[in-house]
Order: sequence, then C-alpha cells, then structure tokens
Amino acid sequence: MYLVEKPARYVGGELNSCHKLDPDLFRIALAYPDLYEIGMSNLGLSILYHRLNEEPALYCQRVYAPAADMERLLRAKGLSLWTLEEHAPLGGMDLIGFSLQYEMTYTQILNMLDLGGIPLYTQERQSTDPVIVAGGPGTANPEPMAPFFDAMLIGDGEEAILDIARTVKEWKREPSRDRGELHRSLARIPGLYVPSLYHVGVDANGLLQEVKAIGGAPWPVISRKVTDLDRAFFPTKPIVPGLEIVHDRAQVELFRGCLRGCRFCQAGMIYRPQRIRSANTLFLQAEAILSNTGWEELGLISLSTCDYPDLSGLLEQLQPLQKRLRVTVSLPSLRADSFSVKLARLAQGNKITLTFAPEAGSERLRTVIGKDIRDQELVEAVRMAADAGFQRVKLYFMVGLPRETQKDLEDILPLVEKLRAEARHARRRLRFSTAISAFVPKAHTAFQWEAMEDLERIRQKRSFLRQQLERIGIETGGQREELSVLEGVLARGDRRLAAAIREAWRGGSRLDGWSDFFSNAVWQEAFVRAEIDPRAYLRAREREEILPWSVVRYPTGPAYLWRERERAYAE
Amino acid sequence: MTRLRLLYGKGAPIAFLSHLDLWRMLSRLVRRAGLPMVYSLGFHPRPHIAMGPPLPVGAMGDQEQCDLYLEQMTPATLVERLKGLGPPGLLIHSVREIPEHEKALTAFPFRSLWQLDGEWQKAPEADWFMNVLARESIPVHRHTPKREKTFDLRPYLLSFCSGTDWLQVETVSYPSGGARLDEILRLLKADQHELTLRSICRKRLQFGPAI
Repeated sequence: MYLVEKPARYVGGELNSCHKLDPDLFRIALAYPDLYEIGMSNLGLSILYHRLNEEPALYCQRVYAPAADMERLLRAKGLSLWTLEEHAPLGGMDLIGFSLQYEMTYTQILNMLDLGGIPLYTQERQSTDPVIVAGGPGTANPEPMAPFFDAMLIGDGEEAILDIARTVKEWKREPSRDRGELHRSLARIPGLYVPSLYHVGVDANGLLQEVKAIGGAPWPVISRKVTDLDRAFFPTKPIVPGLEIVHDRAQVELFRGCLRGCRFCQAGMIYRPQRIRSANTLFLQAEAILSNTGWEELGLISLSTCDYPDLSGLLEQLQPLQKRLRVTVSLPSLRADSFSVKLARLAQGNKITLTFAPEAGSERLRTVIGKDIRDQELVEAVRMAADAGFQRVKLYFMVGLPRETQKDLEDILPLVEKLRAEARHARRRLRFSTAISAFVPKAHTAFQWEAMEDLERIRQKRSFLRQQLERIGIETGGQREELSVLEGVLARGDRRLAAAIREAWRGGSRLDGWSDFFSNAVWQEAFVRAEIDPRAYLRAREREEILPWSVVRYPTGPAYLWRERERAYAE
Repeated sequence: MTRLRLLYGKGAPIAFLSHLDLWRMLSRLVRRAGLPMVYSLGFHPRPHIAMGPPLPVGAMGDQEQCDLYLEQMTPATLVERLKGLGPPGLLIHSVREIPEHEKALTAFPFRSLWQLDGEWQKAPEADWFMNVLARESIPVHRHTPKREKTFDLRPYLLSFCSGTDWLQVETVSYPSGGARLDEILRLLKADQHELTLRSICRKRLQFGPAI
C-alpha cells in the first residue's frame, strides 16, 4: 500500500460503510469500472449498496477500477483485485454487478474481471465462478457487452437487484448449478435481459437479420420502473469517503425522468416517465443525510433541476436547515434561462461557474433537436449571471447534428459574441469558455436512425469553430473527435463488437474516458484483429431495419421515437 | 472563544488519508456532532480547526494533536459529544483547554519517534547508524515543482535503533522544515539496507519551546 498513489482508493473502512462478519452470507460486489473518486460519486450505486445491505442475509461490497500503478502492482505480485469491505478476491463473490455508465469504460470491465481471475465470457465460466450482471444507462444498448454478462438489467435497479440476488442465491443452493437453468430463472425477472437466451442472426451483407428469443425468454424486455419515489428506498446514512471525490457532497434525488424531450438526449427518453419525490420527503432525507455525514454541501439531483414543480418552495424550506448546519446547496443540471439563474443565485454558494448547453448556434437547429431556448433567453440568463457575480460561463455546443448546415455553425460565433457583449454591458468581468463535441446518435432517441458524422467532417467542423472562437479569445474544449466516434461505434454496435472490445483491452485500453489514457491506435488495431469495420456502425439505419437494441423497450417505444424524428424533420 | 486541544490517534484505515483529507474528515466530524464551532465567514463556512504537524500518507500516529476553536465548551463535554461519531481509525485520547492566543502548533519545533516495521534486505549494524550520526552533513536532493535543491538531513536526525524487522528513528523538525521519512529510507537503501515497509507509525510527538 506504500507503493501506490492514493492508497485510500483501495482500503475501504469509510464512515457508514457496511461490515458483516458471518462467513456464510451471500456476497455481492457492486463494481464500477472507473476510479474510486468517480465511482463513489454515483448516486445509483450508493442506493443499491445500502439497499442490499439492509438485507441480513446479503453482504454487499464495493470494488472500483484500479489505477495503472495499482494494476501493475497486482499483476506483478499475482494478486487478485479485491473488494473494499473484506479485502476479498473478486472471484470469491457470489454475484457481481457492474455499472454501465459510459461506453468508454467497457474495456475496464474486462480488465476488472481479468484481475479478479474471472473468465471474461459468460460461456467460459464455471459453476464456481461468480454470476456477472450489469445495469445502468449503458444497457440501453446491451449488445456490445452482452457476451460478458449473465444478465443485464434494463431500467431502475433498486427493486430488481433484490430479485436478482434472491434468484442467484437459490440457484447456488441447488446441487446441479447448471448455468443454463440460472439464465432461464433470471429471464423471468421483469426488466432482465439474459443475452444467452437470444439468438442473433446476420445476413450475407453483415446486416442484422434477426434477434430471436429462445426458450420462452421475453421479447421485448420491458424496462423496470420504480413507481413511487416517496416510498422507494433512499439511503440516509451514505458512506462518507475520506478521499476527496468528484461529487463530494450529500445528494437527494428530486425526480427521475425528464419531460423536456430533447431529441438527442438518451437520458431524457430512457428514464421516463417522470417520477417526483415530494418536498417533504426530500427535506427529511436531506436533514438525515447531513446529520449522519457532516457533509458541507447538499446537491439537489435530477436531469433538469429547475423543472421540479416547486423548487423555490423546496429551497425556502431548506433555508433554515442550511443556516443551522452551515451547508451550501448546489443545483446541478440547470437550464439556460433566467429563471434558472435566479434559482442558482438564490441557492448556490459557489458563484463561480455557470454551465449552459445551447447545443446549437441557431434557434432553428435548436428547435429541430427539441432544445427550445431562444437567443433572448440566453442573453437574459447571461445578464443575470453577470449581475449575480458569477465569474465564468461555460457553453456547450454539438457539431454534426441532424439537419445541421454551415450556417448553423457560423451562427455560433455571433451568439457567443452577443452573450459576451451582454456581460460587458453589465460591466462585469465574465469569462467565457466553450466545449464543442460531436453529436453521437444514441439508442432509444428520436435520432437513433441518424448517421453519425465521420471523423474527418467532425474534425473540420470543430477546427473551424475553434479557429473562429479562439481568434476572439474564447477558450475551446470538448471531446476529442476520435473518442466521440468510438463512443458512437460502441453506443450503436451489436454483439460482434464484443470481440473488438476484448482486443482493445488486450491491447492496453483502460480508462479511455480520461483523454490522457486514450489511444485510438489501440482501438483501430483491435478492430482489425476482430475483423470489424467500425464505420459500418455509424451509418444511418432504415426504419424497418432490426436495430441491435430493439430487444430493449422503454415507455418511449420506436413508434413514438419515429414520430419525434418526423417532427424534427418538419420543424 | 474556547480553544480545545485534541490528543488523538490516527490508525488504519484513515492512516491512508492525506493531511488535507484528515482536516476535511475532522470538520465533518464536528458537523455531525453539531458542535458550536467558530466558523469562517463566506459562502463556504468552515469550522476553525488548526491541524498539528502532518503525517505522511499511510503513516499511523499514536499521539497526534489539533486545536478546535469553539464558542464555548468544556473539555469533558467535547469528549462526551464526540463519542461514537468518529470514523473507524480515529481514537480520541484526551482534550485540554489551551489559552486562546497561544501560538499555533505548527509554530513549535517538535520531535517525532517513528516506528517502521517491514523486511530488511540486509539489516544495518549499529556501526552504520553511528557513522551516519557522526557525519557533519548529509546532503540529499529535493525536488520541488519549481526547482531542485540540496538539503542537509543531518541536523534533523537524533537517534536510530533497529531490530530484525523494524527500525526506529527519532527526528526533530522546525517550522522551517525537517527530514522526510522517504529520504531516510533512501539513505539506507543506498547502502543495501532497503526496508520494505509493512507499517509506519509516529509513536511519539513532542513539542519544544516556540522559536
């Protein structure tokens, strides 16, 4: 432990972490394929961890991706990756649940399995190996990772995870322990997709011909939903990490699902319908969490915070608490309008950066993508932000959106200039920066049938904007083109991609989301080895075509999404 | 205002936290206890906690110290209020009152007695230590983000003692600086006396008169 950076990532024992002594308990590891600091900030995982540990017969533990130095050490000493709670080897768990938050963490999942001494492919695992499942937004297109999982959960996890644990536990008691039998039992749990029970057929041109359920497995798999957030479990005694993490604060979840209907946004579609937690419940949860943890900040979490029905009422109700406990309240995920800025001014302690996502330069294109924000609203928001004493405004834009023209790109510069002029007019020093990334058409959105732009075009567009903006002294950032394209391939791929993901992992791909670790060459080599043309996954899809993710169904089905797509083209 | 000095132990797992992490952990502890701390002004109110000399990441400490500034509280009440709220690894030994305007802990020179357990590549003989202590200066290289400089370890080394699987070192530090454990270990390693560490503990921390 003296040989690695930040050893606190691997030792556990934090305040409010769970420790159980009975060696016969059913052991579950929740695995997050990124560093401790990122994984510990994930609210979903915290909910599942504490929910599982409420059950006396279950012992839920945690494991995160090791940093490069730790991986080297583990491999050099022939040690297994271990859980934080018991320091037990990963391979000794009964059940492991991976969180699929982002496509670029997929190789790290394979790395963690390998470091745990667990065979990567489901079909290679023995009856003594742990059962490996996945959940999180990544399962919206489960196919690229399907061969590695016994089961993948579509939708909300806090109820389903108990069904999964119970089913695996019963199976473990059976003398035969036939994995096929387990898969059939798992497939009976609502929301569970069991890849081995689906046959994928490909035609001579490499197109998907069929995805067929075998042996009575459900078709489609309908996403699991928690109906009443007020009654749903929420941990009021969450783990307080010693190491500073990314979102080092108490969190309450205002609502799940978003009704804004931005046509590019996957989260906006797959988390529907909107379910709201009452202000009273939120207040009680906030009070309990703050007094059980001592956190100095409270985050009000949702996909679009200012859409909470009575946000000002809630903020008002929280004020005495804020004063008494001397905590600040933060409102992430704000919309770029003056109402949001007003709220941010009311609540937020750190008036430093406000982040807005206009996404497109022109009102026309914003209407097409369903992000209805007028230029005037942006101007007012910036004026209020300047008046409120914020110091920085960060603007997010996308290139390669459907129906984008050169004119839309050219409109970005005057918009940014106009916003900057407004801030100057208010005689405030407001620093502007922009992040320009490529649009990735994701599964289960109105744009799922769209083509993703090719690398060269994205590069041209980004460098055009970079030049324009940097000439007037505005910082530009955003995701590297190669990373966006790869994200597109993994987000839109089918089962055949699994071989390429495995090759990329073998080639050394690890924490790819961290741009300093990303190597495009490793991936290109992996595609060659797996005999896959990644560009094929970026093409436009026909309406009648079988999409890799058509086995998964959310309340916003394909008919609705297609209508939304048609509306986008009619705008 | 009351200034109360905490004498505490830092054991596993919090031994793996940095000094700043430890400060954050203590500030959350006093928040959980709902203590009437003196808070800083501004948007991010922080409880006033003045830390003692830092431990390296991974090192335990048996007799660490820090000062809490409270509106009003007796040492006995503080002990009572903190009971059962600390994170695993934090052991509070005692609390005593300190005159409000006394100098900060970091303004005093201090002696540390380090116990390092581990495995010797080749255990040093007593002669080796005698020779080190007999030297007039022991220059080592120190990298800072800005430059590299030579630093003389000798004035900060007081005594050594070793056994088959351990090493004890006593050092003295001043507000201006002191010897670092990794520098001492490198010194040993240079003569084939590498110690592969199992644990590090500051067994004793004693403050001298302020300079």
